[in-house]
Amino acid sequence: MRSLLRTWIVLMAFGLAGCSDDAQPVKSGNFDRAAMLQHYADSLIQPDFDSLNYAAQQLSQRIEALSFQPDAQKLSEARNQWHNTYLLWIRSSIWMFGPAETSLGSLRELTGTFPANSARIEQLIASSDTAFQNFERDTRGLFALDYLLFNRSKSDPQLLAEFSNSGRAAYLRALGKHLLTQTSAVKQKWIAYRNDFVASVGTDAGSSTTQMYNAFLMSFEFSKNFRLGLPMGLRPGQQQPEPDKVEALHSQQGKLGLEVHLNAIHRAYTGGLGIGFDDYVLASFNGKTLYDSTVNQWNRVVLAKQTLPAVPLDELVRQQSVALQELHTSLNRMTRFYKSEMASLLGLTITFSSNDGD
Amino acid sequence: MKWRPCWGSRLHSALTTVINGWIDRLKQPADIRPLVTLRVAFGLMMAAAVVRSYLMGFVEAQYLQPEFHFHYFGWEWVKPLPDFGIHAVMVLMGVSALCIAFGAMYRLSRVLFLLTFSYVELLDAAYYLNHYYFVSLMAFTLLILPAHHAFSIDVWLKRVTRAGKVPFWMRSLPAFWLGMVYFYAGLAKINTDWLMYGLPLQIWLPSFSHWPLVGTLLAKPETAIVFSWAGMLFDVSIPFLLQISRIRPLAYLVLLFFHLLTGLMFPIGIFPVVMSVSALVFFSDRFHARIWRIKPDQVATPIPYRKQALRLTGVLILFQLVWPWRYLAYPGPLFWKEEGYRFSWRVMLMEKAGTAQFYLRDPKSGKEWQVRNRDYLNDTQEKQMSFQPDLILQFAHYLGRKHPMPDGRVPEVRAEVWITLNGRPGQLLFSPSLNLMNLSDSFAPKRWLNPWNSDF
Repeated sequence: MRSLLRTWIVLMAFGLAGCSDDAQPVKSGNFDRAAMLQHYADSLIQPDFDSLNYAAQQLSQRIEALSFQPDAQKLSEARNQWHNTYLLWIRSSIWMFGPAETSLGSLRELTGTFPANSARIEQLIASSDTAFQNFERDTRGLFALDYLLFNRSKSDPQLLAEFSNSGRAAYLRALGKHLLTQTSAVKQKWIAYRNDFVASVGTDAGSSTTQMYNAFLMSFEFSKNFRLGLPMGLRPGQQQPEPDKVEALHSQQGKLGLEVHLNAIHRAYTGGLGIGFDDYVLASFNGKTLYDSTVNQWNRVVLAKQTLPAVPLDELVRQQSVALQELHTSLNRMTRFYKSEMASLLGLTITFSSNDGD
Repeated sequence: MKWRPCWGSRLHSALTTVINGWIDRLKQPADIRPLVTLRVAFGLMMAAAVVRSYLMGFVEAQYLQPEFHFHYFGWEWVKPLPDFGIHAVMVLMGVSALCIAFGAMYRLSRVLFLLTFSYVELLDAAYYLNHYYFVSLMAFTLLILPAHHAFSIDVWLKRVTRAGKVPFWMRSLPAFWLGMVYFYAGLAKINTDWLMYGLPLQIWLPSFSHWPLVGTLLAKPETAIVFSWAGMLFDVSIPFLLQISRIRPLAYLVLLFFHLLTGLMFPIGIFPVVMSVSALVFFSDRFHARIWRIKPDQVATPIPYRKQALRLTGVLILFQLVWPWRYLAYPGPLFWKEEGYRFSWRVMLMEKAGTAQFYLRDPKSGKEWQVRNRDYLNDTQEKQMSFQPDLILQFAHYLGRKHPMPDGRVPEVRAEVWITLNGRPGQLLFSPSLNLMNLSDSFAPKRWLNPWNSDF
């Protein structure tokens, strides 16, 4: 036993001699995750879903009015309300977890898949199929409405004339109701879920912080990869830019949607006026360095966003705008701060499911 | 004056005496029952692990869904079977584990378990876990240990003779492996980040600040330093403390506490249970005799000392002791380049994460595409690939092969990989202008990787 002890001491001494000096890192502190979750639930997430639901309700009513008595005034009202709903939907699309995530997909997927499949929508209208009992998510939701309400290839009188067709009017109404049902379900579920959300203060795979963080990250990457990358033709296999694959193609609101989404991402990161992820980062080990890098890169994103010429997104894609490419590059550079570096410092896993590790 | 060859020959004879003494000791008969405990516990735990992989959805998510699997260098030939084949392998693994537990067709079932488990382990390097490697080592060890000569269906059916004794070396081998795992895991913790800065625990522990009573304490940096030292001291000393009969119960309680705590804190699956239960082999024969009661005459029948098996074990031990040090043959740093990191008992040692953005480029037209890793990999695969150079290279080659250019040539594949290690600001792992299609994996040092800056 004594010889074992001696060997042990020698090995330890060798090991310790291998340690070297480095610049001292900044130490971690305490952070109130419960307070953060409460703030997100009560001041951001629930109000966002409430506003969205209210907007969807208004939209459904305006659509109904339009469908029964199509005229220019009602079309304009429906379009305005679609516009409001879209922007609120964009803001809520960050919180795609918990009640907003179902076995059939997230609220974003169920009500905002783009580009809308106009040919298939026309088939469904022709066959009076408004049941939505299929997985063709690109035939419903906001961008199906975008196609029906704003169809770029038709004039307003033409559109209004088409709404006299009862099948088309019924499909329009069904779209409005479907959006309302979906947003209302999430709003209702959040009322029951809120306390569970706030009470789950750990950081394991199923915890509220991890779920919210992952939803935030996925939402950020969605804008980079799909709102921009897809129409820009950056996905492997795409031979050229595809401007028709922008979000909200017909209403030409895609650029505004992107800008609103980036603002919403920033709001989700900072927690708006309250305690947010940025405070969490600051409170974690060596967090100041990451916090500063994140702010600096975000400023570059904002600058790139502000530099975009005042033309619709599909037009920017068509022109192969350098400014648009710069915005995409700045988002690419942003990714590591939000993704690996933030997850690493906060001890969060980039996954919704649990997994073993060592 | 006359020269007397005193020292050399005296040392030689002293050494010979010591070594012969050891060998004699290894040949001595010892109780078989500790091995029976191990066999039963190991079989049951492994059968439970198979059920758990289904319940947790691991089989589906890790082996059936992914379109691409990462291989270990030199093991490219291990290919995934069709879905029913994977299920068949898993079922066979579970059944053979149960057969090991009950000692039914033990000689066949231990081979089947080793083959099926190793096959699944080798299917994808992204799922590498030290405890899977430990299970493989134990499964291989069962090939050497005749643990079915008592309390088994094989004995009951008179397929093998009943035996109460095995050579001492067989009885000691599992405890040696366990001791080695702890000790090497402890040695790996002797580094600046772990001991001086309490890293990565200083990053991980604040996650438990909501725990009642101790939460606030866990969030303190000083606690991370204390835990780091305690963890290291525990690992390097526990194999020795468990040898001393007087303090063994206390040492085992500490071991249970250690595994319970790490099991509660970290997602390390069955590892705490496997280690806690396996550590029972450190207990005395008397302890195991209390679990398995047999008549004295049956205890007396010995299994002979097997020279060839002992030699093979000697080679295996030598390999296991040397292999974790292979990292010394690389320029390093180990944590950054990970050359020689796996299969070395480096458990929960660092907080490392990466963001890897891959680009495909048509050299002819100059057009470039950006890859969304999730289109090809699952969460775990993406996470592991994003900071391990060999996996990054494999993924790059896969992308290159998957997306040939219009003229049939492979594209250039480059990647921008930012890695954060123990809370340091991200650093580029290698130059983003490097065409990864021009590189191939090997055991040679990866000189294309950037040096590492350890500043915080």
